[in-house]
Amino acid sequence: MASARFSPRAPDPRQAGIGLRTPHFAALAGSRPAVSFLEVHSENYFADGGPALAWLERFREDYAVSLHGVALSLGSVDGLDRGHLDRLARLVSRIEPALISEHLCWSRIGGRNLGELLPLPYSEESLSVVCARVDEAQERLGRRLLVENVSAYLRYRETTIPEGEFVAEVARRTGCGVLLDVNNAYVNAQNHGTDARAFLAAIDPASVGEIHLAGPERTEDGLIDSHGTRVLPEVWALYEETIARLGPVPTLIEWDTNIPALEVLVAEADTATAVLRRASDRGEGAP
Amino acid sequence: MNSKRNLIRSALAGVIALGVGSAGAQAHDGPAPAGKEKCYGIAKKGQNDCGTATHACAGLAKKDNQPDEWKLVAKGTCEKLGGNLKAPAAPKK
Amino acid sequence: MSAGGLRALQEAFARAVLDGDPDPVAAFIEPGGEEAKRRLAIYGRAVTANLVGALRGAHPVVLRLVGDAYFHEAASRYARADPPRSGDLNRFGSGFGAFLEGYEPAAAMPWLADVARLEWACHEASMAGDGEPLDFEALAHVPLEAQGELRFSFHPSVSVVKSAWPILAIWEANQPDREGTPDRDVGEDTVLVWRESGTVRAVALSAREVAFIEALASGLGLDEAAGEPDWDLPAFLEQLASHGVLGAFRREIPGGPPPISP
Repeated sequence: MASARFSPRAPDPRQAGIGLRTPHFAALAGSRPAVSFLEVHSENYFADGGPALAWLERFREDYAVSLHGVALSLGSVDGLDRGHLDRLARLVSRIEPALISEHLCWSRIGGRNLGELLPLPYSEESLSVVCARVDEAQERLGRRLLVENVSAYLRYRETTIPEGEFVAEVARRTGCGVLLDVNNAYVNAQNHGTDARAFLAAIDPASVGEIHLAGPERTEDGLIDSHGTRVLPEVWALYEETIARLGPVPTLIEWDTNIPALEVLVAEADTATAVLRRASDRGEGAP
Repeated sequence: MNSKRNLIRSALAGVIALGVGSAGAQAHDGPAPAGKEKCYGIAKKGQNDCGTATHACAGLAKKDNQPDEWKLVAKGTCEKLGGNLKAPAAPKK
Repeated sequence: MSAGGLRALQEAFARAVLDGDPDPVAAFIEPGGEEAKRRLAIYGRAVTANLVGALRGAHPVVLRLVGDAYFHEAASRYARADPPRSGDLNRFGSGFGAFLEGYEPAAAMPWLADVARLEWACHEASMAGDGEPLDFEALAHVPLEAQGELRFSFHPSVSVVKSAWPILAIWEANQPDREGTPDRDVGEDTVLVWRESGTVRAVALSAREVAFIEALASGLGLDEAAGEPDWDLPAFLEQLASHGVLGAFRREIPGGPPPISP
C-alpha cells in the first residue's frame, strides 16, 4: 500500500496518542505536542476534498494516523454498505494510516442508519455475521482491521457467549486484531455486574493492536461512555494490569464531549505514556 | 457582433491579467483583489465531529422534559425578522 | 438464538428507536418489561441526539433562527421520517429543507425551508472535491478568434440556490458575528455558493449573472452564454475567476463534432 513518497509510520508503542478533533486543529499545528499518533473518525474525512481532509494530510506528515470508523456496521445482517466500504478504501489509500479500526456493533438495518454503536447479542449467529463482514472489509482494504469492544447499556436474552470470548473468537477466525477499549470493559462490568478482568483475560495478547482509554459519565442510567472526562482511577488500574500482561501497546486517549484544551488531552496521554514506559523498562509482556 | 466579441476579449483579458504576477495558476487560491470585493465571505465552521455517530456524542442525552408547546414555538433570531419579510407579489418556483 | 433471529432483533430495534414501537424488541432484552424499555430508551435518546446533532452541525443558521427546542423537535421528526441512508452522517440532511417546507409549525416562516437549502448547499460545498484550478497561462494562449468557443467548468463546490425570499440577507445576519437582523427585508435571492481556499462563500446573483452561470453550466461556449453585450461581463467573469469559481476550460475546434451532448 505504501508509496515510495511516504510510508506509514508506526506509532511508538512506548508513547500514547490522542483522538484528533476539529477544535484542536490549530493548536496541534502550532504546538506539535509529543504524542505518537493521531486518531480520527474515518467518516469525518469521507469528503471528496476540502479543509478537513487538507488538515489531515498536513498532520500525517508529522504523525502516524489511525483511522477509526464508527459506521461500517460490522454486525448488520444486511451486509456491508459497499459504497461506505469504497469510501473507506479511498481514504485508506489517500492517508496510508498505520492503524484501521471499526466497532464490534451494528447500526444499519433495512437501508436505515441509526447513527449509533448498537450492541450485538453475543451468539453463534452474530459471530458468523461479524466474521463474514470483517473478512470482506479486510479483503477490500487489503489491510488488517482492528475491531473494538463497545459499551452496552442493555443485555440480550440471546447472548450465549461471554463478551471476551466473542471478541477473541472474531480475531481468531478472521485474523483481525483487537482494539481493546479498557474503559468500555469497565463500563460494561459496572453496568451489568460482570467481571472486567475476566473479559480482558479472554483476549489473546498477541491480537491486541491498540488500546483505548476515555472517561465515562455517571448517570441515573449507570455509567455512560461519554468520552467527556478524565480517565477514571479504576480504569487506570485496569490499564496498568493490562499493559503488565501485554507489554507496551499503542494507546489512545479519546475525548469527544466537553472537549478540553489540547494541553489537558496531551497531559492525559502523558499519564498513559508513563505506564507504557514503565512496562517497557521492566520488559513486560510479549517479547 | 463586434461589440460582443470585444466584450469577451475584454473579459478574458481581465481574467488573464489575474494570473499574471500571482504565481500563475495558483491565483485560484489567492486572496481576493482589493477593492473588487463583492462577495461576503463566510467561514463555515469546521465539520461537526459528532456528525459521525459515536455514543460519545449522545451518551448524555437527557430525558426530554420540555412541554410540547415549547417545541413548536420558534424562539430564536427569527423574531428579529418580525413580520417584515416580504415575498415578491408572484413567488416564483 | 434461532437462525435468523438477529434480523428480527435488528428490525425490531430500528422500529423501537425510529418508529416509537418498543414492544417487539423489549422481548429480546434482559430482563424484559419496563426495565428493558428503560434501557432501550437510552438508545432511543442517543440515536435521536446523534441524528439531530448531525443536522445541527449542517444547519447552524436554521438552529439560530428557531432556537434549540424548536430545532430539536423538527429535526427529530425529520430524522424519524427520513432516516440516514448512509452511515456517514455528514451526508445526512439533504431533505431537511423539503421537510421544513411541509412542516406545519413552520408555516409562519415560509423562508425557513430555503434557508435550510442554502445551508445544505454550503455544507456540501465544504465537502466537495478540490477540482482543477483555472489555468491562466493556457488561457492567455487561446487565439482571439477561439475565445467565444471556450467552455468553462466550475469548481466542484459550486451550486446555485434560488428563493422567493431574501435568504442571503437572513443567512448573513445569522452568522456568528451578527445579531440576527437582516440588512433588507425584500429580495428574491438567487445565491451562488462555493468554496474558496477552504472557506465556503455565498453571494447574491443578478438575473443576468444567473443566466450566464446556468448557460456555462449547461455546456454553452462563452459567446453564447454571454447573451446580449449589454452588461458588465468582464467584471463578473473576473470576479468568478479571482474567487476560484471557474475551473478548467476546454476549447472547441470550430467545425468539429458537437461538443456537448444534450
